[in-house]
Amino acid sequence: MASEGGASLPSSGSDARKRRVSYFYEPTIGDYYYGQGHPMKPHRIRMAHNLIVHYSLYRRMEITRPFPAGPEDICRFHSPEYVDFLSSVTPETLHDQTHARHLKRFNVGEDCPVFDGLFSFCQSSAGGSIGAAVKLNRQDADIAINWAGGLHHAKKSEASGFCYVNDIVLGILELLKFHRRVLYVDIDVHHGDGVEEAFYVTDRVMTVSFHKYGEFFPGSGHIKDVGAYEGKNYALNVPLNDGMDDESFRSLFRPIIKKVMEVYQPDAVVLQCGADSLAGDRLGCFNLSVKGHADCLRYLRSFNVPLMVLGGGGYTMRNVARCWCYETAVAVDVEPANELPYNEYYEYFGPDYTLHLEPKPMDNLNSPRDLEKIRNFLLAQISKLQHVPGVQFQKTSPTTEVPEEREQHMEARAKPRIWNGEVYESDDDEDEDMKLLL
Amino acid sequence: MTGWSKKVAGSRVGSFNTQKVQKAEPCLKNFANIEENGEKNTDKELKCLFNDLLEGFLKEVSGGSNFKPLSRLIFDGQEVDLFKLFFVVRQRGGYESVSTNGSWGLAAKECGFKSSIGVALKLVYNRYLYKLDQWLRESVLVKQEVKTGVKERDLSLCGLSMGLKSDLKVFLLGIMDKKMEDGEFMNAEIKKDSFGFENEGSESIFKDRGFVESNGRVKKGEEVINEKVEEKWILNDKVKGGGIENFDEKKGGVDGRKRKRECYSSMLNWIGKVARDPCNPEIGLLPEKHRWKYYDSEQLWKRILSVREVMLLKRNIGSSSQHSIWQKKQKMHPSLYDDQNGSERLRCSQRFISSMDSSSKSWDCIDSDSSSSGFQSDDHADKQSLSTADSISYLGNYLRRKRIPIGPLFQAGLPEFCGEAYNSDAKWVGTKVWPLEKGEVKKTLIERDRIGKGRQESCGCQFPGSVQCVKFHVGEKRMRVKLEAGSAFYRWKFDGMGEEVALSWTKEEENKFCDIVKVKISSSYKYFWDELFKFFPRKGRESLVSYYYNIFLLRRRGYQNRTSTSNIDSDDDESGPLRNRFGQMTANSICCSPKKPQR
Repeated sequence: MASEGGASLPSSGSDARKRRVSYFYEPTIGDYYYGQGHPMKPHRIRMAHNLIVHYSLYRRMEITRPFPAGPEDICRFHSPEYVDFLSSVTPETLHDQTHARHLKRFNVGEDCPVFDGLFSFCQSSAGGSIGAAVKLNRQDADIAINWAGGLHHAKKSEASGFCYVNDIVLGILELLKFHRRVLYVDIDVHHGDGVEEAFYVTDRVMTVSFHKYGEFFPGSGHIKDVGAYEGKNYALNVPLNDGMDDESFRSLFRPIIKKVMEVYQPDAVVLQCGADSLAGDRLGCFNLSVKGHADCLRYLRSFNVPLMVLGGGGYTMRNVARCWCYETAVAVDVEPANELPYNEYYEYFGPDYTLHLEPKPMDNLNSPRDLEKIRNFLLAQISKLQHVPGVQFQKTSPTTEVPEEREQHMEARAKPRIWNGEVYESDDDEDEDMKLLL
Repeated sequence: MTGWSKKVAGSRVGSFNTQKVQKAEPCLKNFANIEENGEKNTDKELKCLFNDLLEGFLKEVSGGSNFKPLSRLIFDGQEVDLFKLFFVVRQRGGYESVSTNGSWGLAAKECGFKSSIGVALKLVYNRYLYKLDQWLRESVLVKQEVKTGVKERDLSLCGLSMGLKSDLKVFLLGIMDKKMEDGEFMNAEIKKDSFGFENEGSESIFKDRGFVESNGRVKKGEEVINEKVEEKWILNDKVKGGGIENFDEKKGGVDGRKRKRECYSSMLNWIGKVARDPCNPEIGLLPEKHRWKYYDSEQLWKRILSVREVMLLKRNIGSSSQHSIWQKKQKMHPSLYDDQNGSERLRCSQRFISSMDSSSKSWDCIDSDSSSSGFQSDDHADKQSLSTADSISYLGNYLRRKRIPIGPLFQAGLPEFCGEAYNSDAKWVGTKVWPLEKGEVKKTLIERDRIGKGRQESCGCQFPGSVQCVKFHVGEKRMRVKLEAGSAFYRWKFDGMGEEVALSWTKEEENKFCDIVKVKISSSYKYFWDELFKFFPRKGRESLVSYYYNIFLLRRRGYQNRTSTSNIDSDDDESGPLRNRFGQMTANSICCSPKKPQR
């Protein structure tokens, strides 16, 4: 791999190591509870923060308690009806007539339960990401972190995959006021479908998602889904298989991102650091170490472009805390010791009490040959991009202006579910293509 | 089966189309044909017209949103003839009259059912026919009455039919006009000779046809299916016969028309038979898919497949016209699409052509192109370059690609780029917690931990690594952080982390908490939160969750870390299957990862 050398833009020379890092933390975040048995545990964010403080990383950052985003702020992306619903529903009123009929429509119930404090949780998450964007826009920071953000599955009028409000889209929309082009990179084990969909037809946001594909939630993220209209080729999907390890991941991530940075030259970058791509995640199936995961951040940081760093998935709490703590350290350019400092949540990290985790002994189902094909295919796609698209001042309708057909569309559209309960049919046409090529 | 019942409706309309095709007349004039040929219309055709009218009417009334195509209603193994029902009730003085006289049973008998079906027929009438009847009375028949002086009740079935026919014409033309006004799909070109079969070479026939498909769809969805089905067969014939002449002959021939209509009913019967008894040896075996192309269209199952293909194509066209609405609303300049085959309209027809081409080559393509989502058929052009990706064996090419919906309901509206004029609401800056305000900074702090420093490996405790040892060191570390972070320590709610949380709980409360969780977890019903909320009504969610994560789980983990060396999972907080009160975890959930064992 000759291209691994490093970034092509002004990069991490010894002169450019320092970054002004802004970090958003809502102190009540840890006490939200999705429900017993639910894999999403906001407590992990508190655990990460606790480690960050005990490693003294906070000294190198500006730390802010986010302003909670109001319904009108959330409506910049989401539909007013959906936001109304989210802001008014509670576990007690869940089965009231007014709410009950919306549950299915907005896909609230199973993966996305109505829990106590749901909306204020969303407000904190979204407020942090919008705040992070404002920090970058005002050029008050080079890197802005919000571990409570990164909820990439939420759709305009629909909750999905534990995500209700898409803080990423809201953050990017804020960034777009000051930045012509924004690059979104997603290393969650699940496809970043909500963000991709929101910006599927524009070239002002390029989305790149690395994810497990095939019989896996949310089911989207095919390598051939490349965007549409003006956004054609501005959505990049890297479909991967189980057991992805550090080396394999790096062999895709670095060359692809390098090429994207060269060709697209984003003014700002948003990195979703879903920690469910780590080894041993409760829901994920990759085999990345904390270092391998954080290498993505390290690499993006080296381009010295305003960078927003967000959380996301991650369902083995102790590993999420490890990962996001280490990534915070990468952002402030510190190499923390592997032996965890004593901290309030020390026992969660037993029995080894270390920062880093060992990859699991599992097969990597991504063969070098497959990886090379994916890489070549995607590099070819990137090279099809027009170099540095300018801002086209397209007429945008305000999000509040919604056509009447809404209802119909919502009903007609299948809810995003991992399998839709159906057996996949073979796609004979493509099968045949494959036979010809193999 | 709804699709198939739709098909029935489509086949009824067949008579329009064949006439249309035959005479190569602009579509708008077509309805005049009905009148011209009126005398020839048999009752059966009239029934078709009626059903068509009814369907169109219901669609209009429901605003298109909740409209469900008419399905076949069967009682006692006999299909309800809505046409007949309508007139039987009308002859008996209408819905109200029949209801007040309690004569639904009689009406049922007249329709050829047992009188016990009467109640069901009443519902059917109410659901499908009542509104139509009301409308006809109000808008048309009233006028007729005035004109002709004929009392409604005295109208014979025949007379009514004549009236209905003109009503139908007026009605359908009304729909047409409305659509024209909307102007969403109807392009001016449709008025031209878009059915120009005779005058052009085969290529332009295809183009025009494709075009008609997309536009014609608006007139009557069913018509299109029908037209396409016929076209398909015609094409097959043409391929076989190898000449335009043959093509025209077939198309124009009255026999051909009749044959086609018969085909529909036999097709439907066949499907019905298969559905009722899939194992019936009479049906025979369907050959392997790759052998399908060797069978000609005389095979019923093959025709059905072709109908299915055409229906899928229709779906494609439907989605693309959806986009075109959106484009209009977005006011995008058409030239934006120049790199993609020009306008949407052209793309649409080309896509149709290409799929027609491929389908005439091989039946194997039926599923592939037509089932992929609308706009993604653009990929057709990119096939060459994409083929490399196909060869990645595991990529899930065997999976159906999930469609990404496009439109203002799904995408974000982008803000304008302000550049230096950027201004943000000051609220987003949030509340700064760190660094501390100038006044609070302690310059005299001597002993500070190095950034990133971990714990000392060795300590002077009596039992290093014991719970007491850890507790001591955590407390010590905590004090250092408290000293350095000052007010930030509290603003980050460090006082709500770890063992300190227990300070606000009494020993009894703590014991009770543990008991409830333990009892519930060992029971079959593993949900303990209801019980906790019930028992600690004054604690609130935050306090309970806080205790759970900061004390209960942490203590349990401390115990586990020292007693078992097996694979411990700190998130194994319920030690039960993934099920909660919010519903069963289904296979559709993000929680499901097929290759991972479920805990």
